[in-house]
Amino acid sequence: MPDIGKINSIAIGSIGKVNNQTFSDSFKILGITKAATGGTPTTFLTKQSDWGGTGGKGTTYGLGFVPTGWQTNTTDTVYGSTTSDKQWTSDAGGTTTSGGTGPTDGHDSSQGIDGDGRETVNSDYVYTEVSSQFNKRFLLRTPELDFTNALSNNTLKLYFWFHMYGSDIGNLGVAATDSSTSAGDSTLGKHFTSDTAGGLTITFWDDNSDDGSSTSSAVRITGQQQTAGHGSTSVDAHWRLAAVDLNDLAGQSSVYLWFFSKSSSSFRGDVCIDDVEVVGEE
Amino acid sequence: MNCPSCISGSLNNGKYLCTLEDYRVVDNSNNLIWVVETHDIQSDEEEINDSTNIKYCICKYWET
Repeated sequence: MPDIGKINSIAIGSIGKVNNQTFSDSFKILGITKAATGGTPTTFLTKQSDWGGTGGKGTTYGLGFVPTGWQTNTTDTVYGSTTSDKQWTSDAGGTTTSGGTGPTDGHDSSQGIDGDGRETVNSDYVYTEVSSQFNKRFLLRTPELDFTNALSNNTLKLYFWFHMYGSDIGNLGVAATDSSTSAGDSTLGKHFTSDTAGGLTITFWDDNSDDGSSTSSAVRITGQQQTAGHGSTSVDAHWRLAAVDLNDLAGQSSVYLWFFSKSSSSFRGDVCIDDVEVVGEE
Repeated sequence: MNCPSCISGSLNNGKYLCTLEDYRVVDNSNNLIWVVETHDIQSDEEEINDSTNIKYCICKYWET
């Protein structure tokens, strides 16, 4: 197919209106799509690889320790009148404590979104410790994000790496609100509405190919994903990448992204995330 | 097989075990090699006495 750049000597990219209707980026008329306007690549949330809380490495990691600006409170709302039951736990590296669940170590943060899911020694991550915490809700949110100048050109994305190994894994979801205390706030229309519904669609690696060649999309990642972990260095134990399209949130001046997990009924259910970042263009 | 961590040590068969008091690495005769971490899990929970087969080195490296 030829690349049509002009119609009647007018560059398609310069067309502002057609029949008095705004011809916006990515709009399609008669099969001709206006290419998205390129902006300046921008990081809206710097990749979070160090989960050591306000003290950084060397301090005591554990239940409720999260970096400055992040929040994991049991007083925060998941949806409706339902509040969180448990805090997420920061881990300074290595396995989670229970056998048969969790990763071998944190994701290798030198591996970008075009990299792979290998772990690296003594690398932080954050997770839900489900020993003795069955059928509980865990809620974690990012610092406030400002998308005022973000372009609505389909580049605004949340990326994170996840590890869900164990015979009794619950689920993992992502929501966006303009409330700092509620993942159920409906103002932005990207909120949780139940344990299994609402929030943003997650596109995630769904097999052990370790290269993103196979993906699925859903509002929850549910059940065991990795088929190895907790001491295994095989490719089957590698972390997997998840991406969330935030295009609808471009222009919003105050956004919080929420990570929610509901545990299942056994100790082999640790849900872990690492290397969380938000990128786009201005 | 040599330990990939300390290089000079060898990997032995053992178990990663959850006892009433802690998570620990034991040999195949359940002799303590080292304690990984203590916990406060109740005695009636299914995790107590759960074990995973591992290979360990006395340098405290272990793998599944």
